[in-house]
Amino acid sequence: MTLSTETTIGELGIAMGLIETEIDHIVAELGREPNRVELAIFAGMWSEHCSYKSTRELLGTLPTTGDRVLAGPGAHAGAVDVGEGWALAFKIESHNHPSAVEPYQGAATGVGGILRDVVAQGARPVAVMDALCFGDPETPRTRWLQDGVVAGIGGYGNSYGVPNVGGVTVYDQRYEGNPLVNALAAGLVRHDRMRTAAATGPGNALLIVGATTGRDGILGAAFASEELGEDHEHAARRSHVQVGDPFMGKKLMQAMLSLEDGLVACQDLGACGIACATSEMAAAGGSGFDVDLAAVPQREAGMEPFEILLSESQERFMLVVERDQVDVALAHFRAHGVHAAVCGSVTDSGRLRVHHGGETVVDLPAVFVADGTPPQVWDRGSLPTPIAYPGFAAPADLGAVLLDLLGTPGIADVSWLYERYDQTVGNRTVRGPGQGEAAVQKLPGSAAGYAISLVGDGTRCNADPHLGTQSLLGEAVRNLACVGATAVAVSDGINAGSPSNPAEFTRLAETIRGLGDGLRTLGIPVTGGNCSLYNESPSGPIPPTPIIGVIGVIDDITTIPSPAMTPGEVLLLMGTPPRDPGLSTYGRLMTGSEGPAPVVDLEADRRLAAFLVAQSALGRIRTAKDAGSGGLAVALAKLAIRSRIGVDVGGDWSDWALFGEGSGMAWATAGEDEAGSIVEAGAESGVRVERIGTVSGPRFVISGVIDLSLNELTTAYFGGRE
Amino acid sequence: MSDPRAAVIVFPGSNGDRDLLEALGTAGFDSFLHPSRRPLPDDIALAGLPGGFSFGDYWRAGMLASQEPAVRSLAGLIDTGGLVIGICNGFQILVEAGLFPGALSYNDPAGFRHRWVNVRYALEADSPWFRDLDPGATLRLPIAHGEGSYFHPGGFDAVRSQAPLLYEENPNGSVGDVAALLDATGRVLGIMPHPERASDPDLGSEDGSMLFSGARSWVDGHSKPRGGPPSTVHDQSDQRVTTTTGGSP
Repeated sequence: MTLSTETTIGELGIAMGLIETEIDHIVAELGREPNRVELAIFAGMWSEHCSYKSTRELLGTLPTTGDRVLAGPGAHAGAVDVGEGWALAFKIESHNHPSAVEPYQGAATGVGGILRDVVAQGARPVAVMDALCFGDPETPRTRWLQDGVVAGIGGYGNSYGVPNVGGVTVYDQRYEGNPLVNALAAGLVRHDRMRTAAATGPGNALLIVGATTGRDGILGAAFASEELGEDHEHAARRSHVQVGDPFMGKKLMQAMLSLEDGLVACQDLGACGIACATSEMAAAGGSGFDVDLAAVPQREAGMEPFEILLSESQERFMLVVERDQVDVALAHFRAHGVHAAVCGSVTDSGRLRVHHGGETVVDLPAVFVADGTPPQVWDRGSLPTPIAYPGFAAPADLGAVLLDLLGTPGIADVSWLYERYDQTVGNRTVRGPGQGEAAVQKLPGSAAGYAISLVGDGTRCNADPHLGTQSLLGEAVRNLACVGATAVAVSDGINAGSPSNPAEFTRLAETIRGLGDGLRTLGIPVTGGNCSLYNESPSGPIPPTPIIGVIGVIDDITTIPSPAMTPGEVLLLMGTPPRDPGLSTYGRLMTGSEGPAPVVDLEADRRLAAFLVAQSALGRIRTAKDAGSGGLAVALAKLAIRSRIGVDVGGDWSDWALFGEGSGMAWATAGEDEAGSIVEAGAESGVRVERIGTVSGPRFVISGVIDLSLNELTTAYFGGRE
Repeated sequence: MSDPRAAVIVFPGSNGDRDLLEALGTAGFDSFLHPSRRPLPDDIALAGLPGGFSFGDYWRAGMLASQEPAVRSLAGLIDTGGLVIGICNGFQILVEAGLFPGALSYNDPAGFRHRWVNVRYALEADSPWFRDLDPGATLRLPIAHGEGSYFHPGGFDAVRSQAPLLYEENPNGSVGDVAALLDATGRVLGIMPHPERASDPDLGSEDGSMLFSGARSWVDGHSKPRGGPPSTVHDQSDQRVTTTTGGSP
């Protein structure tokens, strides 16, 4: 972008992505036209990415309070009490557009950015998870994107020393032009060591620490708030993408977490860089800043004030330090091999004042910059009514259907992808990728632990965003219960198309409404998250895609179900298999059509989850796996593949009972002695539990309808990769 | 009698330092973190080089770290009967420092790989690290590396007598399935898999703890020829660098 002196402020503002009413609002509030530097700050800070102007009102309807919530939306990262004085800080971020044009760095800096949010909260990162949505897995473009994204996530996290403990990978043609890369990071911090962004104490010093400030990623936030263009336009966008340095990120993390004295507030530098950190910290603390740009260590000579202010160079933090502790803090960072410089001070003016070469280049009310974006109101449209599948007869060979489903992208094995990530560094991972329905870690020096389930979907939400999002929540709660964990809090990553399209805005609104309704039914709060809009390419919008991270707590990790079944265990079916056609991978496989709205019963999921957790705590459940995509048959087949052992299942099974999808269904295994107690307890808890088979032998047998060898299942699931 | 001291050398970019510190502590060592920019103190029985990406490993893995003062001072520890273990990046550093022959190169197939693997104890070695193992025993340990393919110009025969652990299924293309090497004294161990991450049954395996317990019991029977007062080399700034455990996990 060139700041030509001939353009008017209005034209320039529009070119930067502001809309006319916003510019009018700025002029009215300031009582003057903003100068060009100030205008660039507004363009960044009032972009959708930073301001949530289209979604703030919708997100405001979500439940955010709960007994365990220690930090909610608005903090660097949400934080919940996970026991023994520990808080788990966690958050989801998207890095969709950068990853579309430069997959390695886009994904790497996405991980780096979400790790800094956790560190800003004062927490030591302990886990990363990733949710990836790609187009057809067989196209060269998808392979290029996927290889780059996976290498970038691994490249940053492995070097940083944080384990990747799982995630979700979705394939759908509609992500072909606009893949999604969302990452969740979690960290542990003692309750009393959590940090704040509120800048207070006039006279206290403003420090910038970490990497030097360069020209990378200028107005990346504004880039994230536009639709993606054609492929050939991507090259021009690469200057909006930042470059990550995990070695610096790690040194900076260690320096930040060991800084003891004099730290008043801190914030990581992400979207909109210094402009964002200073205005938000001042707004949070009811204070102001005087900033001297010449004191900001710069990577190159001759940077313009707006470039220094909006640079999204990675691996940087801003800190407010008590004035008499500045020398101690500077020495601390020097000892860690990390740059630190005083670049301003806290004032009681409420204004963000920025000086450059003896001139005041910015003088704005901080709260107005940080929180003053007028809500953007969009028209709603009507959504097409989901249509039932055209009728079809059940195939004669249901075993062949099971094999087809096991090889379907989204169900098929992706362990090759997780092998690119360090899963065990830090000695905390009790269940990593592929070892359980959710990731499990343990607290330092304790048998207590926590679990994280990261789920994502576009198919169910495309059919019905309100029900689809609830279905996704149900899936996460069941996943957690299968590792003995009780869900306590949620971080949400909402990915959607352009709100200017009435249908897409309606889908977005319905997604968030579904999230709120689901959370209220389950009694779980949301503690923060991310909204990524404008996920459209010339081939169209993505389906509405919520990525939901749910934290669960576990009193004693030594009693939780095992990853694998062993011979002789009794197989228990929990819940009721579907009877009727419903939205499912099976339905889509058979008909090729989108299908009806998903079948959801969150009360059933809640009952099932509470039951599984209680029985696990008693040490009765040997293994557990809930039914998700592909239904009960696929769930049991995956459990058999993981356990390298067959099953013999009785009962009467239709195609929809085997492959239909819905709520409240799971498999569990138990020893002979415990099985009866579980069935009895189920009757008392309102959960149907049926003894239906045994674990044994090399064959996967479902009475009268499926009889396959373990080898056949394995080959279909691994696609010849194992 | 106080526990023997064990220094875990922390390089900028190390990330397995705390894991190794805990595993050594559990085995009965008085383990502590030691910054790589200082020579090792005299009063230690053992030095550990942890996994990680030292100095970012933007160059050949371990190349820069091998020049650090703590690494240069390993010779003194070895000469006086001390034990050394280099794990993953620590192994790469020991190879770069010339303590082992050959090289650790890019995995084949290429790329970083994390996986639980079985390694077989294939050598009846007179080594403190393996005194708790029976020949032929199998250990289940995780690997997590991109440059762990061991190469020697003389092939496996050149290092057969030094290779205590062999992969049951070779994950990285190492010659002769080599997963670890011992030096001529048997006291210096370089190992690509992570025994320190397999020292807690809750985390999948405690097979790795046998290496540390072996080392610990060996130390009791072999007092070092020299001793001295406890080290006080840590100045205030070092404490701040290396002792970050205070209120964090």
